[in-house]
Amino acid sequence: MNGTGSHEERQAQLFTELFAANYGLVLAYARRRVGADIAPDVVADTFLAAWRNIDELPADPLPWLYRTAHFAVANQRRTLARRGRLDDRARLQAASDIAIDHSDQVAADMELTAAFRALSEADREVLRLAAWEGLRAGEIGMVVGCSAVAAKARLRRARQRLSRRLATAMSEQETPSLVRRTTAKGTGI
Amino acid sequence: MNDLDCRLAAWNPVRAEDMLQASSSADATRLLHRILSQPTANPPGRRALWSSWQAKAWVAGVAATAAAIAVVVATVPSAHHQPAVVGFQHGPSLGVASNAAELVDYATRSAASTSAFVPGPRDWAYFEKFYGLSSSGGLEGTGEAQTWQQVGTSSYAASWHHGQLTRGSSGGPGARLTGWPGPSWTGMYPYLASLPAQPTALRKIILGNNDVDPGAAFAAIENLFGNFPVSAQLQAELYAVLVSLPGVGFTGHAVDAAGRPGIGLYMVHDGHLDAVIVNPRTYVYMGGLSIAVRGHPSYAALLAHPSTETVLESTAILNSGIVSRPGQVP
Repeated sequence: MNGTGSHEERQAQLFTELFAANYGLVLAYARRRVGADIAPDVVADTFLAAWRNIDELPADPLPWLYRTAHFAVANQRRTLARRGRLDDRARLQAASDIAIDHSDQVAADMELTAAFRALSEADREVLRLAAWEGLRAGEIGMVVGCSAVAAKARLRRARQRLSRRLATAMSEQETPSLVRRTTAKGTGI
Repeated sequence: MNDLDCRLAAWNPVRAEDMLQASSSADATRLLHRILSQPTANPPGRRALWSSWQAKAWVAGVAATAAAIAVVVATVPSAHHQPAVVGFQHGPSLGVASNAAELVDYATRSAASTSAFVPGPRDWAYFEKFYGLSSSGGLEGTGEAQTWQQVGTSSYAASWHHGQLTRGSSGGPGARLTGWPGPSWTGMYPYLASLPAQPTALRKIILGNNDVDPGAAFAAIENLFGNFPVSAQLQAELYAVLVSLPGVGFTGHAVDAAGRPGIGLYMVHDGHLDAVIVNPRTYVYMGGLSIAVRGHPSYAALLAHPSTETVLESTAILNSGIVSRPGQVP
C-alpha cells in the first residue's frame, strides 16, 4: 500500500507543480476567448482533464492544456447557445469580447477588430495562438490538431487573409463615397 | 515577428504578465484542492497506451468533453440536484444558497473575503452588459454595450456594438437614478459611502427614499445594481434589505439575458415580475429580469424559463468594476 500511496503523492506533487506553472497562462488563454466571467469554468475543466490524465501528459504540457482549454471554450459557447433564448449570435459575440481593452488605441483597433472578426474562427484561433500565446507552428499544430507543416500553412494563409481585409478597409477609408446618405432632414451624415 | 503579428500582440486583451500571480490567488487554491480531491482516471501503475500526439489529444478532447458535460448536467436543474464534479456554478466552498436567508449569509461571507473599493472622482465606473428590451412584452431588441462613466464628473464614454468608442459630457446611465436621492451621478458614491451597513437602518433609509413602497424600494436597489458597480459588501447588505421587504421571494433558478443560470430574489408588483439575479458562485449581482405577469403562473417557472414573449427587460452584467481610464476593462 505504501507504493500506491507514494504514487498518488507523486501524482499530486506533479499536478501541483503543473498547476502552479500553468494556471495563469491557461486563465489568460480562457479570458482572451470567453471573458473573465466564464474563464474560471474553462480553467477548471482544463485542469480536471489534466489531473485525470496526469500519467499521460507530455513533457511540455502547455500545448496539451491549451488544446483541452480549446475544447472547453467550445463547450462553454455551445452551452450558452443551447441555454439562451435571446439572439445567439450577438450573445456569443458579447461573450467573446468581454475582455477586449480598447484603451488608447481605440480608433486603430476598430479597423483591426473589424478585419479580425471577419475571419473564420479557425483563422482567428491560429492568429491568436501565435500572437497572444506566443506559440510556434509546431505547438499551434498540437493545439488545433494538425501537423506543424499544416499549422504553418494555416498561419500563413490566416495572416494573408487578415492583411487583405486590413488593406481593403484602409482603401475604403481613403476613397470618398460618391453617394452620400442623407437623413430625413437632408443633412449629410 | 512581422508588423501584423506586432499589431495583433499589442491588441492582446489579457497580458500574460498580469496573470503571473494568478496561481497564488484564493480561486486557484480552491480549485487545486478540489481537483486533488478527485480521483485520477488512471489506476496507479498504469502505463500510457497512447504514444502519438493525436491520440493524446483525442483523450484530452474526450476528457474535456466529459468535464463540460458534467458542468452542463450540473447547471441544468434536475430532479435529483446532484452536485457537480467540478464547475464553479455548483462548486463554491460556501455552497449554493437554497433560500433567501442562505443567499444573504453566503453573500455576506463571500464579501468578507473581498477587498472593498472606494472609487475616487477621477476613476471610471465600467459595465459590459448584454441586454434585451421590449416596450410591451416580446423582446424587440437585443444588444451589447460597454460603458465608462467618470465617477466625479459628467464625462461619459460608451462603446456600443463592436468596439466603437464614443465620448460625451452629458447623458449616460445613472445621471439621475430613480429611487435614490441626489440629482447626479457624481454624488452617488459619496452618498453610498455614507449609508449605514446595518441592514435594518439601511432598509429604513431606502424605504424612506421611496415613499415606504416596497416595490419602489426593490426597483431602486435593482436600478443601483444595474448602473453602479458597487462593492460585494454593499451588495450583500442590499440583498439583506431586499429579503426583508414584504413580498420578496427566492428562486433557485433564474436565467439572465446571456442565458447564464443564477439564483434570485423577486417581487411582483404592478403586473411585473422583477428579479435580481445573483451569481451562485460569487454571490455578486449578475443581471436583472422583468417579466409581464399574465394570469396566475408559477413565478419560479417564469424565472427559470423566461419566454421572449413576456420578458420586458433582461440584462446580463458580463463584466463590471472601477478602472482608471475609459477603454480600460477590469
